[in-house]
Amino acid sequence: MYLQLQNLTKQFDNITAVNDMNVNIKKGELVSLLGPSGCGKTTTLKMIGGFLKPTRGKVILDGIDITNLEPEKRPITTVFQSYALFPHMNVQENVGYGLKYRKQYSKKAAREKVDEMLDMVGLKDFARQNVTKLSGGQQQRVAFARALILNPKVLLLDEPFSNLDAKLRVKMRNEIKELQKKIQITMIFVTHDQEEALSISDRIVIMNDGVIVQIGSPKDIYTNPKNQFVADFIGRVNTLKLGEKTLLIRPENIAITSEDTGHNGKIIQKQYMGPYTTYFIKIGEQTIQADISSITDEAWEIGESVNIKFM
Amino acid sequence: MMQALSEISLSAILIIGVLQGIDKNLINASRDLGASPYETIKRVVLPSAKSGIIVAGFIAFVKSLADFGTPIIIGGNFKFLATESYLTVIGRSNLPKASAMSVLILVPAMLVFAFYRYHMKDLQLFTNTGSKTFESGETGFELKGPLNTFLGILTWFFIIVMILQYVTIFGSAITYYNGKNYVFTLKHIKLMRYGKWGSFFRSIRYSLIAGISTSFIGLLLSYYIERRRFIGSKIIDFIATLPYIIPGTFFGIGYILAFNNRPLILTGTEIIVILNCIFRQIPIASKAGSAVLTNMNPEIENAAKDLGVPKIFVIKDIILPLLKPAFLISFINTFTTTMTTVGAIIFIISPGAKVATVEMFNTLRDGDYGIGAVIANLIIISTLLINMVFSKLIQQPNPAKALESKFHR
Repeated sequence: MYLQLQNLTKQFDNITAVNDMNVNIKKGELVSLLGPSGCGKTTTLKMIGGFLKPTRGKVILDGIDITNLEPEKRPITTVFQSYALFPHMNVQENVGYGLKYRKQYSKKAAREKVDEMLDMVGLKDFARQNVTKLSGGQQQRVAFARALILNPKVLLLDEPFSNLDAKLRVKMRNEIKELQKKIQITMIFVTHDQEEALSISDRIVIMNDGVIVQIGSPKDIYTNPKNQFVADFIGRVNTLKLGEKTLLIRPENIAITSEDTGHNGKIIQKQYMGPYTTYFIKIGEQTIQADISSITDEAWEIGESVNIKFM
Repeated sequence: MMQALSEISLSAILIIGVLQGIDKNLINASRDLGASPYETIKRVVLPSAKSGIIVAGFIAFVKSLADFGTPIIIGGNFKFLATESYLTVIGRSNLPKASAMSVLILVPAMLVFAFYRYHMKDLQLFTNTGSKTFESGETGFELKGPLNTFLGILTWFFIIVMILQYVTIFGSAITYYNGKNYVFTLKHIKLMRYGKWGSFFRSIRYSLIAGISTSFIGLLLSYYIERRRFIGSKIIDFIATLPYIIPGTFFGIGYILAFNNRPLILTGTEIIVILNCIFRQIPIASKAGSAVLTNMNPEIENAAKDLGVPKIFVIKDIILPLLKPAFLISFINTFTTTMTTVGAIIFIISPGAKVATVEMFNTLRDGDYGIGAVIANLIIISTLLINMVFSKLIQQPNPAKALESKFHR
């Protein structure tokens, strides 16, 4: 295993922010830490980056225990949530800053490396631009280039897209995923956005209250949530009590039909969402949500009695 | 009257600061709910600015209490604590008695200081959120009726008095009274050559040294207080803030007592004067530094460390450049106060190394109003020049702020 978190624990006064965390990450893997705010995901990231000292446990990278190494000594870099660009430096100064104190790079070699990096993130024309004059997406790329130029063994990303608008977020996420594939870098990605985690991760670590709830591939986690919390947090879920047993079922796995299925309900509300329509159906005392694709939707009316089918 | 006039400017700057900190949406909300501008001032603006107004008032109170330049020159037969302690030291060489008198000034000063710190906490509530300015084209805020006229007259009266004051100083420098008329003359300026230029340039030198040293020490202090929250940093902050509120005379006498004996005999040297000016202004430097640092995202510092940069270079490359505005503010402040201070240093300068203010003070006491006015003009002009040059530098866009505002949009 390339990066190992062993029994990683962090306590602040009486609060346990991260409790006994064990994760093994393969080389070149993109792993997301996903959970609601306060679940300990950023604390975990800070311990990996060296900005927080764990109360207990170890961080082992490539066979070496780095738990007590200062951040400047770790072969790990971070893309910060606020990007944390140096506002008094231009784009190339920001990107090249980390090379300045590495003896193996001559000034010329450093300059070439910066150019190469800027080319890769598509900011070649902005090299001398003041970073404060850049758009959010461009600033993000500078932060990314600045962290990648040092060839880190692991790249940490702390909610890097949270300050971008929805469209740009999707675009940047694709760019980063492509880049990650190209240069085969190990990445740990902190987010509270489930869609983001599902779309770019090789594996997702779901956290809640400082502990790991489930680890798995996006598909694994979506289709086989370990418990109600995971099912609720990743996507939406209906909790339906049928006799003795409780059924967890995704809204898109429910079909509405006029044929008799044995499950009868009444439509009490509907919301048109574009690609699909969400129907709120009352079955006995329970209300479930069903997402019906716009292609198959038969435009059921509010008040109508319908039968539902689980798929 | 004189005290009020000289303190109004400082109080105005303080209160303007507070008023600018009030979220303008609050005012818009008040008017939206149907309050007239007058009611809005009464119910929203004044309560919000209350702390600032009180603090400004108390600062003016303490400064007047401790000031003695003004009362000794124009105070006539009335006795003031600060002037009395001055005369006790200089005239009667009775240091213990002077110390005791200064302690009397210290008591209200400490009370005000406690009060100030308490109310400063309130002030911060208003400074962090919301929009601070009316956007262009937005309905402004106009008062109508007699209140507006009254406030207008008051403001203009103040401005005219201030202008008159400076015109008089300037006029006295280049005229003399021949019994009937004021006649133009250069004789006051010519008289300057008897050792007076020396004290003026000494003042400039002291001010430059004090300005630069204060800013460095103060900013480093603020960095350690804000970022390296070590045990006791609160106490250090408190101790560092004290000299600002302690009356100058008290501070001066303290310096005589502290540095008259071994191990540090400094009385009568230049160093003691400069040290005195430095330590009195460090609180401003460290407060300015803290203000910039609290607005600066700590992630920026982490980012530099993250890139493998040694700590000392993080300070050199990242922290110091971003603290530049604070450095400039603190420099202006220290330069100005060192150029204009009398109270604290009048006790500790040696007769051979007078500074401009003390020189001016002496000529005025001797009745040489013309020469006094020339020195006053020199002080005013040089201070004004430095202020203008450095204000220009500050007004260059502050990169840290620019990034923040973009980020929060």
